Amino acid sequence: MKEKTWQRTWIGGTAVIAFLVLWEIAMPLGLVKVADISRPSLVVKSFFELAAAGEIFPHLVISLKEFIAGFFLSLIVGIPLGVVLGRYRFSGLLLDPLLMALYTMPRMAMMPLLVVWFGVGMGATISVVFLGAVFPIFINTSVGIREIDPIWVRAVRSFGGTEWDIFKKVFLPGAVPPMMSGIRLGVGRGILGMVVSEMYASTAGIGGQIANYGNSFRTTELITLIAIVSLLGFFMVDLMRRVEERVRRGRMEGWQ
Amino acid sequence: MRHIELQQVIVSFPQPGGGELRAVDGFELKVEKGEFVTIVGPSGCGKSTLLSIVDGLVQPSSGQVLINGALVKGPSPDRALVFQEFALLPWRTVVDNVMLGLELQRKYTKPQMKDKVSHYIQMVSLEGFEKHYPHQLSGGMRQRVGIARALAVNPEILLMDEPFAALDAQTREIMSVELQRIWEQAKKTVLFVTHSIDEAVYLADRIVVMSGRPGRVKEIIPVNLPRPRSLSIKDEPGFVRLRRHIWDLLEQEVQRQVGGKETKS
Repeated sequence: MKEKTWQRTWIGGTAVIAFLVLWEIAMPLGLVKVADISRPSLVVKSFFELAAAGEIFPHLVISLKEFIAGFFLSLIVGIPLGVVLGRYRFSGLLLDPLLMALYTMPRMAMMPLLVVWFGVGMGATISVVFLGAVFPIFINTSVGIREIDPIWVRAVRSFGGTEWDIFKKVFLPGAVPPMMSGIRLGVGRGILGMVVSEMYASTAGIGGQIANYGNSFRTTELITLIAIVSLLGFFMVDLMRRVEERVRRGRMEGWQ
Repeated sequence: MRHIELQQVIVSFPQPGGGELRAVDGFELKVEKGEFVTIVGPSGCGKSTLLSIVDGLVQPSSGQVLINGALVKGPSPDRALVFQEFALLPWRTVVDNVMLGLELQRKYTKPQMKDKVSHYIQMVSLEGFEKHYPHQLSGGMRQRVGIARALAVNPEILLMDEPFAALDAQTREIMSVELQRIWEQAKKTVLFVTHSIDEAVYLADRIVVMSGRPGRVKEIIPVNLPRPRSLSIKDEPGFVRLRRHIWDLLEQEVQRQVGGKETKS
């Protein structure tokens, strides 16, 4: 396990470093103009300048607040919804087509309406984060519930367990691994939604900043901000993956 | 003292194409307290269904089951099931799996439950594996967990549904010896469904041989071999005779099902 993680970091890291070196020397070699792709060294410098000017962290805080609010909402809606859809056949038959239609609906096309409903600023972005994250969470949760082995239910029932006991002792813990995957997917989609919504409907937040610098073609600053978002997403998803692994370790191996 | 009584139990299942399938027909059985009764019969004769009925998970279409003279209406802690597939919760350790039934009873504090659990883990010889997860155990050990889990709620009746069917031949024999020891120690009434004639004779005070579908009692055979029985008892004339006799009965049933017509038994 340890060695695998180490290998992943090392091999993957090599590719990242090679990419950065290539990027850095592309301009001096005359392959590209600096205005097109900037350079890593300029990006690092611009990071410190922007940070000193208060162009990053206050916006990052706004973005994170929106993200956390939207994501939290998607958890408290997605998990119970997934449980109900997975557990009761009728609810699945009733709601699956509707939910699938909503799922495939392009969220960005809804932006004008979301702005009308929730206002420019945090409201709209929270709703986009929610819409992005809630689907993978409830879909994976309901899959987890559907894949529960009925023999576990029989075991609890044979000891006189109530429906609530079955839910608590079989369905919830049994659905954890797919539910965790759904939550991890939801994080990625939530961050994506957060940035795009801010670009469209807000002047604040990281997405708002990206729109500002992008519209004035300030390539270096734009890339700096994009890199911040990528790193944020990377660490969040990585964090979820670690939580997921921890949950699976030992108890889950050889089961799912 | 009469412990379990099945009176004229009939079980029918609705069929996909309409009509119904009669799985068990007019099943009658009386089991005394502390008795070890094994049930053998051809595949599909409703043996497992009978256990679910005694447990209360399934209601008979007609007839009734009495425990200590009282009608069975649903599962209750005085009966515990041991499953062929073990039915352990894979995310729980051995200790937590054994504790499942106790948790559901909501009668004991955590330390009390822990005491009971370690007692039964010891009884099924699983000390040292308390923190293991089911996938880390062999089949035989998993079923020991299943047995400990059933015993932990201190039921009067143990219902065992082909508990050793998923185990290899040697483990199976060892588990039979173990079960006999546990039964003598724990003093339970046992209903034990099996496909193995050897297992049925080795463990039983009485053997119920069932007919093919719909399942009826074909014959009830007392086993008067002395206890405790060692595995070598399987070579003794009394054992061999019983095995032969049961085999003949089952063969008739299989022939009847294959031939589609009744032969005199």
